[in-house]
Amino acid sequence: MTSHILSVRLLGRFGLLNGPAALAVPPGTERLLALLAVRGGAVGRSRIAGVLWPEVTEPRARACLRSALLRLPPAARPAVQVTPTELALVRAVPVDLHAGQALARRLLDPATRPVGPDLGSAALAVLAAELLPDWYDDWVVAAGESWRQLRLHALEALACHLAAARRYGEAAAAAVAAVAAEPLRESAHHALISVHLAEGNRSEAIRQYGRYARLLRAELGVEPTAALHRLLGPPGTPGAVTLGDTTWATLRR
Amino acid sequence: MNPDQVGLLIVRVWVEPGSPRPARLQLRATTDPAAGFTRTHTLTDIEEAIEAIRAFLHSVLPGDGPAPGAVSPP
Repeated sequence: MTSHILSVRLLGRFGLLNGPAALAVPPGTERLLALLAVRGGAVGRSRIAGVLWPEVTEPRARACLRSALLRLPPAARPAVQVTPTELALVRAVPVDLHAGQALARRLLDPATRPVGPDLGSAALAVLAAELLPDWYDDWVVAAGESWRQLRLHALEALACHLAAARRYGEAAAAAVAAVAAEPLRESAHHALISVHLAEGNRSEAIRQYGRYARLLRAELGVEPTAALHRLLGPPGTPGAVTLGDTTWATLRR
Repeated sequence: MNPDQVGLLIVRVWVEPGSPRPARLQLRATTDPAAGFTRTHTLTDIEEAIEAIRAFLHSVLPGDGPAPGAVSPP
């Protein structure tokens, strides 16, 4: 068996995959693989032991690390590069988080107009997924927040690209995912309202504005910004959305 | 305090440009990390956020006495 058919899934939930099949991995080994996948390079054994088992003594943490390595399923051993001082996930093993980060950067690159799979339903599914949502270790929480910020921006950009391509249903789905990820974030509502307007669906745009305004009043006692309100102005007024490059400029605040 | 008591609090902060109160301070908290975040609250005022953080700390550390500046009932 070669390592190139192994992959690590961190988005939504952990998985060590051998092709499409998930391999059974003990919890300690799962955390070790997840840490190596998140870090994406060689990590010192002492550091790994301290991060994964902070509540025990250093010798005990090192023993836990050795145990986690020994419990790696035989089929998965080619995935981990082991030296006396460091461990790393083999570069050839794909990690969905890294693919998602690369996708997000392409979507956010103003010099690139993404096409093909970057605008497909799989891209939306990746960007809508949280990093290991039920894990609360410090290193997961920090990495999860970083991924969250990136994917929120990328979802809005995806909505913008899809609207520019007149794929309004998918654009709305991307914007809805951004709103769901952070309902109080105005730029997500801005993206969704802009998609409705670009499609010519003014009544739905107004309804969405109303939903956001009610939420803001109830949660924070504030109103949406004037910039968001101006989006709903009649065609031809400043800030009103039109198709094409203007949609870009409006969505990418 | 209960030595096994654990608290986790994450403060997300962002700015909504153009809003009359642009700060957004989102507090996500739990005293049972295995169950996930059980409380989420978003505020626009830094002092209110500090008070909420203080209240959370005292809820995790109940033997730590009343919050400094807390008003006691007569």
